[in-house]
Amino acid sequence: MTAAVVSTAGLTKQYGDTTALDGVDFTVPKGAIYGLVGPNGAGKTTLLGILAGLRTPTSGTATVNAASVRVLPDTPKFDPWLTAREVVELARTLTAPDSPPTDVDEVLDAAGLLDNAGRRVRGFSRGMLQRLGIAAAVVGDPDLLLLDEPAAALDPAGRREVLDLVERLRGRATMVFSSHILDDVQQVSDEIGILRRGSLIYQGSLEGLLAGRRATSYVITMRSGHEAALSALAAAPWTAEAVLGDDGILRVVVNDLEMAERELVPLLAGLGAPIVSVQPHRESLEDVFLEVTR
Amino acid sequence: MTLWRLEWLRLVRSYRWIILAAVFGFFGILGPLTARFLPDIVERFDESGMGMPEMGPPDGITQYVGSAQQFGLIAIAFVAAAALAIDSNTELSVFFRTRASMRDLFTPRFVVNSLAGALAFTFGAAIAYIGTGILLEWLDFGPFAIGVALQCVYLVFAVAVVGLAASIVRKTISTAVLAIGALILLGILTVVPPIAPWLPSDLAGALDGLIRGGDFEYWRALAVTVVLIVVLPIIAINRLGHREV
Repeated sequence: MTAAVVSTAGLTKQYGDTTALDGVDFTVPKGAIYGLVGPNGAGKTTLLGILAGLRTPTSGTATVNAASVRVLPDTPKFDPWLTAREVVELARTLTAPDSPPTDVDEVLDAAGLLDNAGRRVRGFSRGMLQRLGIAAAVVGDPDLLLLDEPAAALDPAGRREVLDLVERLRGRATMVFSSHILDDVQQVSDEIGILRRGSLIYQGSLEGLLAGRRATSYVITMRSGHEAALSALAAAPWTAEAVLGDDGILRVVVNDLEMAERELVPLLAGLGAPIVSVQPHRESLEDVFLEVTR
Repeated sequence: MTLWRLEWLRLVRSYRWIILAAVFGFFGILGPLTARFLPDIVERFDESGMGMPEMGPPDGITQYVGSAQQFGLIAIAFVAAAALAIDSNTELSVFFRTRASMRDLFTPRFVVNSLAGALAFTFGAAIAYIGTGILLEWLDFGPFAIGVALQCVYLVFAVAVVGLAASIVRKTISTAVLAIGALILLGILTVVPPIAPWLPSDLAGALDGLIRGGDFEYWRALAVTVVLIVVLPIIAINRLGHREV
């Protein structure tokens, strides 16, 4: 079993009458990229703040088995009169003074900022600040990185760059990556936790969350013969529900996937109808998220 | 890049040292000029014929101290607050708090800004002293130097008050305003005779008193101020260290 870098037990945080975290039991395995998902106000930032030592829990415990922990806020800011190289050099001096100074340019290069290393931070775009934040966070090779909505405020190109950076850090550090952008989490995480109103309602692998939800429905596009197909599909023993949409597309929910995979296509072929496509509908993390957080 | 160098760069690159030097330097020039020429100017425009009492050499310094205690102190409070209000910006605060202890963060900010304030005051006082010597009469350097040193101790105390204020409120402006309010309140308390000699505010009048030949009666205020210069930052560090961001 992989050792846990982070574990919490009954973690609760209250701000007055508001419960931000409600008995969260949370485990992050070593080396994982852990996606912490939840709508705004779910308690993600509070949880990361407690793990970083910036906030204290009202009750419960949080254990962090990491010698060095770095936090990247959602919109990192730095003293505007420092250059990018000075920001990373400051981070290195404070966190890993024994690491070689050449590490500074190395992480700036990895973040795509080496050409701007001598520029003052004042003129940096959001995307550049985010990449600089990551460079400052990874210099000195921390054991645990807490990334709070690292791509939320960026345009698509900036998001892509940041996600690529996170992906490249895989294996170098354990990461907890909070986001309400599910696509981002799906792209980089191998473990996820879903927070809703302060409670952790799912924790485990992404595969585990989506398993059993795959291809439980089919989307069928035909040129004609919709009514006949609808009747035939509704009568099939493996069909749970068959619906013809206003868009002329048939949606079939199945209750026996194995039988459906074997019999659906022959059934449609037997009708002699002109079929454009038969697609299994794979539930995305977003579908599952909306379902479990409803 | 150490936290000490960071504070030096904060002063230099954000031009805060220029603000301090300009404010104190300006009043350092204005003080002796006012002492030398204000009576003449008033006499020229005064139709009542009452005029203005003649000003002596100490008045060149008195004019400087009066202005420096007001505008200079405000400038120091805002410059120090900009550095000591560590939690004014949450993201910056997270960067520093997750990388260094509060004592390591606070100490260079307190020391560098205290030195900057004291140096700026000394710079203005030196200009006022030289200007007074040229325009009026040279004053004894000994009492002047001791007075400047005591004023500097008071300014370091003022920066310590700013540090404490930063542990009570978060934003730069509210930190500076709270500290200035506390210093004004302390100044008002000097009207209470039994406690006046013990208050740090007593040091604010030391330079003026000493150059006018007054006795050195500031031991009690000096002792209290030095203790507070040590104690207030410790309280501030403790409070800031326990604050959630």
